[in-house]
This record gives sequence, structure tokens and C-alpha cells, in this order.
Amino acid sequence: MNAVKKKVTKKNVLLADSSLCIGCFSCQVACKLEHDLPQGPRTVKIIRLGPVERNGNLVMDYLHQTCLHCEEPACVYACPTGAMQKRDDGIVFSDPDLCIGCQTCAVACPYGVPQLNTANGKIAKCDGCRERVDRGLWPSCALKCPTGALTYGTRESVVQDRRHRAATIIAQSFSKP
Amino acid sequence: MGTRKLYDRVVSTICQECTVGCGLLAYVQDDRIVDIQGDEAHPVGRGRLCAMGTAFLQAFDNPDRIQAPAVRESPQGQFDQMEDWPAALDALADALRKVRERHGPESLVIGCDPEAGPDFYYGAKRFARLWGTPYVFEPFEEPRAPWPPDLNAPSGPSSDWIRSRVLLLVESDVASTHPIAMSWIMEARRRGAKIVVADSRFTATMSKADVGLLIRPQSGNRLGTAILKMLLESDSCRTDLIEAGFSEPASWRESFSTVTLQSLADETGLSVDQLDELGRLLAARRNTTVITGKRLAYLPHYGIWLTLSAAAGWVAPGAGWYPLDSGRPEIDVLGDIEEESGKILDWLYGDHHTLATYALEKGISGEHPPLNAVIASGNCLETFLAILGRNAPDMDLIAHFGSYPNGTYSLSHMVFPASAWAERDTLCFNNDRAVQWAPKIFDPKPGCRSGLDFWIGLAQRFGWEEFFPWIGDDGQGDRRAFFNWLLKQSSVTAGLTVDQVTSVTESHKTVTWPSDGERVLKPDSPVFPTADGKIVPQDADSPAEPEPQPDERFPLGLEVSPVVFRDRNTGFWWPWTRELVNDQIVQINPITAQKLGIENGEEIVVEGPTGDMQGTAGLTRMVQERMVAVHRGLNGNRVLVRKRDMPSEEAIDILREATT
Repeated sequence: MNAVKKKVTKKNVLLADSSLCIGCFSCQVACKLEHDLPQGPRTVKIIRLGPVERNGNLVMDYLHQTCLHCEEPACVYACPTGAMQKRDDGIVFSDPDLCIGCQTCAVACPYGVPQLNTANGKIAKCDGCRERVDRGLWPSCALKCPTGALTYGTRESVVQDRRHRAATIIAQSFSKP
Repeated sequence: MGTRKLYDRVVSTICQECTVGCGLLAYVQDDRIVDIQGDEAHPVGRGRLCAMGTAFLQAFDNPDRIQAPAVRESPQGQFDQMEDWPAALDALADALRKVRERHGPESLVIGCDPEAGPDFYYGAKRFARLWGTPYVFEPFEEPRAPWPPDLNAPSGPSSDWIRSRVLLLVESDVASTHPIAMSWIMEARRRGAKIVVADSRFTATMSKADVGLLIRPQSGNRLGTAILKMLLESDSCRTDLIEAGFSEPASWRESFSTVTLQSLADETGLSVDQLDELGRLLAARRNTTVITGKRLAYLPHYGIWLTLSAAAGWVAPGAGWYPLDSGRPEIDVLGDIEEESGKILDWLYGDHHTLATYALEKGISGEHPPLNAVIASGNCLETFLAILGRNAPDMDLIAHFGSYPNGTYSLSHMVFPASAWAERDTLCFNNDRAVQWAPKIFDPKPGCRSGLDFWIGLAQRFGWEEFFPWIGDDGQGDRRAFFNWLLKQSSVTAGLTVDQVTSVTESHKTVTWPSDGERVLKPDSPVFPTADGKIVPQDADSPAEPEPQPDERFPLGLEVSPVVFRDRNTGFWWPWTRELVNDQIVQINPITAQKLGIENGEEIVVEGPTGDMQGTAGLTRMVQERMVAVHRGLNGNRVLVRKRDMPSEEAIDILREATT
């Protein structure tokens, strides 16, 4: 069991900035193409929240949901065949060659992430676009996101990027009359 | 950028799913697309790609695509495949001749779905003129109508939006319909622009706005009148432009004294305070771009946007009026065809839905020849010509030019398989006035032809070859020759050739019209570059009815909001996007629903003047209490909503009590 709890050293992260998400579903469809998924499993989900009233105004947000690639992934502990694995870089993925489609992982996951791909009887879940990132490419969802709501990189770089954006906005508010 | 998948070649082309015109890279192996990505070097898309741009390949690859012409006696019968295209075109020509003998040439309607490509549309216009019918319908005809044809488009490219200080979006849900264009709005906001969104629904775009204004359905153009009135009263307009560039400036000014801000507030459903605040914002921040949705083009007072942007002096880069889906210049494709007098009717232009309804009713009442034949491309009989679709069973001939066995197909007597956009070289007119060359990714599937091929073939059967001379060595349409000719038919693209456009597109830039650069509005000149230096401004006009009377029979407003991912019928070929939006949903405000006893997810009935539809109630505050919104299936502005087992009268009574 301890084998799962790997010390992740060079973890890249996907940062979702809800303030930029316009609910266009580009990420969802990008994932479908990348992983050749049929209608049904939604490995990335954009959930519309609202409109609800807040301080007298209507507000509406879009929530981006996908696998959190947990530090201690319950799905990996639960998988009876060893298909569900955690890589050194933190990506949690299911190896289709080992997966028997029993969906134990789906029951174990507290967030309901793993879903059955009815086309091949295997589990479909975000695999962090492991084959793309191994080639130095961005995950497909972040690559296609029209507004840059999804960004990818090291924890330091994505946070730095957000800081830079926020600082630019503040700086601009001083530079204009 | 890049792919993990194995591929033989990459085709760089332009996505044609909407009018934005994003650069698209298709990775191809063994005649199959293995990956699709946005082209990072492309100036519009900048590497981004929306759901439509990715999902199109599902439809393209779909095994159910129509691949052979077919014919049947009646829409209830089974299709018999035709031997080949020539035989099918012979049969269509015979059937058309019979319709003409029986009902005259004006009984023919041609519906041009954008899916069929610009060559189908322009070919249809030419064929219709030769044939003698005025009825050619296409959804992109009107958006830039008020702008004089010899003048440059009202504003610069969407990349200029980032230079705006205010972006005012009226009834345009760019986030849903043109996600990549929305990225420019988000960028403008990041750079400090105020985003103001006025819409009758709380849209995705409004959720990103600094100021959101929920207005009455169909009142968007009156908001323009209100803004202009406020700017005039606060002396925030360019007086020199008005005096030198408007015809009859004095009476135009005078017209604004006939309306009060209060009456405009009532018309738009806003408060005077809300309007005042908007007026102050726009007066203080001069560089404003107004982005209007296509729906406004079919409503009265649409000319106000041109007038507003001109009077306010919004003519610099990053300012002006940007009607969505207006990137196509005025092209006269009929100049060489002599008009048969009396055949081109004076009510030719306007809202195609109203027109089709009008023509249909006049035909039924005997005032005009009845409509008896339709050449219908794409799925037009279920979308913008749904009114004709409902009358299709009574017609003599429905010929379908399309790629999928959709609703229009199921109404038809004859089928002609169309090539998809990825299978034809096309000149694209995109938002931004950009002219781009989009090379095909594949050759057409066997048996599929382009719109140009269709019209050339049909014209040959009536002896009109000289008007469709663009034939290549293979006997099919020569698309480069056709588009070269097309560019020459507009004064603003006459200097361009397909070769030039191709080389510019290949170098990841865009050519914009006017190609001579002469007809550009100059910020420092009070004179418009039209023939007489003037434009005709839109008067304020007092409304016909100061208080719009609620319709007793149909008490709720209706908005037909576009389905981003195409409707159920077409969406069937795109399973990836079909699962994202349920197009059977009838959006209804929770308060209205509660009064009618309607629960979320319940099957309900929507009654409209032109027919009823069933749908699933979706309770959401995206719609106001006084309206409902559907994605498809109904036309018109007013409806009644009820539970399935509730009599109409009871629902009317409940809603009447609620409004009084």
C-alpha cells in the first residue's frame, strides 16, 4: 500500500480559473477527441452554477471538474487488477490493458470521477494526457481552452502566471485616468 | 501545439463551423483525421479551438452520411438510389419544369444553409434569377444591411476590441455562439475595458460582464435609441460628424425630442436610473465598440447602431459598430443576368422568416403564386425555414442538398449528397472582414458534390451554361475560377485574387476588405466616404404603442436562442456535442413555473401562433418571468406555456392574473 504514496517531485498541475471560464465546453470535446471517447463518459465536466442572486444581482459561474489526481488516490488502492496507477509525476491513470471494467474505482472515488466507457468496457478518466505531456505537450483541454481559463505547468509557474495577471490589472488601474 | 498521434500529413485550413474563421490544423493518417488543433500562428484563433471546431469530424466521418443521389415518389416512401449525378439532375430538371408549368416560376424557393457553403448560396441566387423566382433565403443576408454598400464595414477586426474602453454587447451571446471571439472580449476586459451586456436572457456572456442589463425581449434596438438620446442630451456626440455627414441632421435631432427617456425605459424594461448610469459610462469612456447580435437585424430601428456609432464618433480603431456575422461584403452576383420585369419583387429583402410566412400566406390566399417546390440545403426546413417545413407535405417537390439524413431529408422527394466543408476548397468571408482561403482536407467522398457542382449541373439542363462557366478539366466546378470571379463582383474585393488570398493565408495573416483601403472611415474627417459624403441616420421614432399590450392568447415572450452545437437533428451526427446541451429544454423562470405548477424536468407544451411544441421544462433564472426560451422548434415572439394536462384557458388565466 505504501507503494502508492509516492513522493511526487516534479508535479505539473492544471489550473482552472473560474473567472475566465465561459462554459463553452471546448475542454470536454477536446478530451473526447484526444481519448477517442464515445457519448457518455465525461472526463472533464463544466457545471453551470446559477444564475443566483448575490447582493441584489444575478451571478452565474462555471465550475470545472475533473480528476484531482489525489495524493493518496482511493481508486488506486481499490483497483483489483493494478490497472489504476499513480505515476512519479503525480498523474493517476488507468491502464486499459489491465482494466477489467469492474468499476470498483468508481465506487471508491469520493468525487465520482472514474466512469465506464461503454464503447470498450474500460474505465475512462482523466489521465493527465500522460502521452502528450511525456512529449512536452500541454494536455488537450488546456491547449484548446478559448479564454485561457485552463493553464498547465509547474505549481510555481501557474501561480506566477496568475500573480502576473493580477498585478497587470492593478498596474493598469493606476496608469489610466 | 502538436500531437501524440501518428500522422502522415498536416493540413492547415480555416474552420467553417461559424463565421469567426479560426485557423485549424488537421492531422491526417490514411485518409482519417487523427487529431484537430487550433493553429497557434493564426491571428484570429491564436491556437484556440472551440467545441464545434473539434467535433465536426464526427459528422464528417459518420457512416450514415448520404453518399448517393436518391429519389422517391412521396416523402412516405422508400428512397431508390439513382445511378449517378447526371441521371439525378435530369430527374430534378424534369420535376422543376413540371412545377413551373403548373404553378409558375415563383413557386420555387431555395433555402441556403450555411453548411452548404458560399458557392451554393451565390449559385442559388444566379439560378433563381434565371429561373424567375425571388425566393432565396440565407441566414447571413441582413446583419450589415443598414451600412451603405460603398462604405467600409462599420468597425475594425475583433482583435481591435482589446483597444476599446467599453464593449457594449446587445443581444449577442458571443460566449456561446462564437467562443473564440469571446476570448478577445476577455482579453479586452483584462486590459481594463468595461464589458456591458444587454440581453433578454442572463447569458454566459452576461455572466462575464461588468454591467449586465436584462432587457425586454426584442427591445435591443430601442436601447440604442435610448443611448443615443442620452449622448445627445449630454453633448457627448460629434456635432461636426452629424452636421456634415448626416442627411437632414436637424429633423433627425428633432425626432429625439419626441421620445422621453421614461418611454424608452418602459420599452426596454430598464429603469431610468439604469439607463442614466449607462449613459454616463459611455459618455465618459469614448472608445466604445457595440457588438450586436444577428436577431436585431430583423427588428425595427436596426439602423440605430450605425447612427449611434457615427454620431458618437466611435470610428477609431477599437471603436465602432460590429454586427456579428457580417464579415461578408455586398457582392452583386446578378449584374450580368437580365432581370425579367415583375419577377423580382419589391419585398425581396428583410426577415426571411417573416418573408417566407408572408409568401406562404399570400400563396395560400391566391394573391401570389403558391409555393410548391423547395430546393433545401443542409437542414433549413427545420431551422430558419421551419415554417416551410411544416407546409412541405403539401408541396409538389422538395429536393434536399445535404450530407445527412436529417429532418429536411425526411421531408424530401429527392436527395443530392453534398460534400462537407472539409472536402472543398473555399473562400471564406469571416467576421473581421477577413477574406481567407480554406483548402480542403480530403477529396469529397464518392458521390458527394459541392454546391457549385450542383448549380452548374442544373443550369446545363436549362441551357444556362454561359452563366455558370466555371468548369475545370474534370468536368466539375473549378472552385478557384469561381471564387476569383466572385471577388471581382464586389467593389470592395475587386482588387483581390484567390492566389493573393492564398499566399496571405498561408503566411498566417488575413486580408481584409475593402482591398483598396480607400473606403475607410477616418476619425478626423466629418465626411463619410460615400458617394455624397452622407449617410441616412435612423430617427428615434416614437413607438407605435407606448405600452406594448400583452397578448391575451400568448402572454409570454419567446426567445429562440441559438443552439451552439446545432440542433438535435443535426447534432445526432455529433454525439460529442449533443450530450452537452439538451435542445428539447424550454427555459422557464422558477416563479412563472411555480404559478403554472410546472416542475423542473417535466414535459410541457409551448403554444405559439404558428404551432405548438413539446419540451422539457428547465427551471432557470437565465430567463425573466415574462418570457421563456427554447432552442428550436418554434418561430414568432409570443407563446403560452402549460402543463400537458392543463387546458390552455386555465394557463392564460393564471398568467393574466400574474401580470395584473
